[in-house]
Amino acid sequence: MQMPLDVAMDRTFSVAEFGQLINDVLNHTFPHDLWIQGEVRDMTRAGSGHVYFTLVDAAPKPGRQPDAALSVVLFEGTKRTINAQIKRSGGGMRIDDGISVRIRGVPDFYAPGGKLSLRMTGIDPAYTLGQLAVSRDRLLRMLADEDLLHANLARPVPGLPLHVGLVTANGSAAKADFLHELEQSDVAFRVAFSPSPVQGSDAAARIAAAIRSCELRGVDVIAVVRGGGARTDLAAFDDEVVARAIAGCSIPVFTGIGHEIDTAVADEVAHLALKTPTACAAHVVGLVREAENTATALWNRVTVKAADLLSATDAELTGAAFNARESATSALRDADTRAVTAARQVRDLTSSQLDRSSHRLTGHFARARLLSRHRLDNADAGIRRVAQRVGRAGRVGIQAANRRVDNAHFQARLLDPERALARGWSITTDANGAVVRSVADTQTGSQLTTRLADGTIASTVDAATHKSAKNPPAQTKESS
Amino acid sequence: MSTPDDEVGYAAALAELEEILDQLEDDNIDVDVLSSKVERAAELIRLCRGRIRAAQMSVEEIVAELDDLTDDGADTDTSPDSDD
Repeated sequence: MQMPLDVAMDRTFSVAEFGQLINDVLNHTFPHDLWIQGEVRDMTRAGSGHVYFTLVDAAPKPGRQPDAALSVVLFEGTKRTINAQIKRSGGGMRIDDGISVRIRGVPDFYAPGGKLSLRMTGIDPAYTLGQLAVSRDRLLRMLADEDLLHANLARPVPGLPLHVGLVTANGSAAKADFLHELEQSDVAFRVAFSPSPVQGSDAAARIAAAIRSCELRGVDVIAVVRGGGARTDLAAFDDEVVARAIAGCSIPVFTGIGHEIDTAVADEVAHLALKTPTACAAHVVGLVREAENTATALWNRVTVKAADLLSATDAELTGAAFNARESATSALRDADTRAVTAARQVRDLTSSQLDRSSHRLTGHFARARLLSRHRLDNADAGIRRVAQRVGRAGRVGIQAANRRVDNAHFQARLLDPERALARGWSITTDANGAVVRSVADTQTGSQLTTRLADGTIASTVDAATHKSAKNPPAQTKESS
Repeated sequence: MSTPDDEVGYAAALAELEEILDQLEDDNIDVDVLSSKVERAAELIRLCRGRIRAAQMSVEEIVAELDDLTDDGADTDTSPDSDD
């Protein structure tokens, strides 16, 4: 490289002169702005509004020295121009640690500090966003190849997630929003808060560590949240370390990473991705409400079913009582009917028997009367013959004849059963209507009917004794 | 802090409620048994609601186990155009 300036080799410079010489060389060598790409590290913002950071080639792990580094300064005046440029490009990025950038600038030696730096004059937002997209797509493909994209989705969510792990930045709006949503629910949540920066070069490692801390605490679910920001603000959530921490977590992880356009890799591997921290908390509250509603619904069904059963039982008892009463009434009615019928049958039977007995008795009496009349007629004929004989025999035998006549009438009257009954005699017949003439015609228990002048007596034979025996005479027990 | 027993207890309570409901579906259940089942169901629902409503929300801060990082976790938004 040819020396741009004519410098006397034996000249001795002051430090300021040497610094000026360096700047002259730089200006001569780099007459225009340069494009340089690298990753932002150690960014600081001075009170003056100037921004300082280091641009490094590789993406070294936290604490490790990069292979090459270049100090960059962005002065307050230039920063406004660059911000406007970013906004014109869609506003999807923001310079921050860990972000890959392609920036324009001019080399500058700051003599008072003795430090060579790049004075930033412009930026290429598309490069940064493109790098993010490329990196994101590459990571997603890798996770898919390892079957890790849905690993956390397979973790079951407990029915009552009251113990909630929270990973976010301490003092952030995201934390406040999340906790506020939980508090408003009046549910007895227990939150295990593991603070972590959510952007910056160490954010990814810290987020992963916080997730593991919550997992070790044995929470029910873990919420990883942060507020809204530029796409580059979410770089940590596109980091492989965070993705693997979520995919490998044994507890369901919900994300509430505030972004509107696309999703972070953390969202892709999480059990469920919500739009905001508030939405994430609301989902957890909803799970508890669902569990509570499930229990309440079961309880309601139990009470309704129990009421139905009690009502049915009551109706059954009422029905049983009604049936019992009806049955008893019916039984009584039937019994009464049967009793009446039986009584009628008994009555009818007795009456029939009486009729038969009476009929037989009447027949007997008729035959007796016929016989008596026949005998009377015979007697009258005999009288008439006697009278004729007397008339023929003369008056001598009239009185004797009259006496015989009277005697014949007397005997004839004696044969009339009615007269015998009128005198106190009775006629006893058995159940067949046959006249009982001897104790031998009866036996114990025989039903007898005794006819008197003014009626009949039904009786049952208790004992019958022939008069030749030593026992008392035959006895009958009257039954009517 | 919840324990596995808490969760099992809640899940078991729901399962027992389901079981009781199944038993009540049997119309031949004795009235005395019905009474005891309803009492048990009431006990279970009190258990479930008690776990949800028993106390106010609590927040416990736990420290991530990462030895080489000692930052307090504060949100460090130092980007040049940070405006939120």
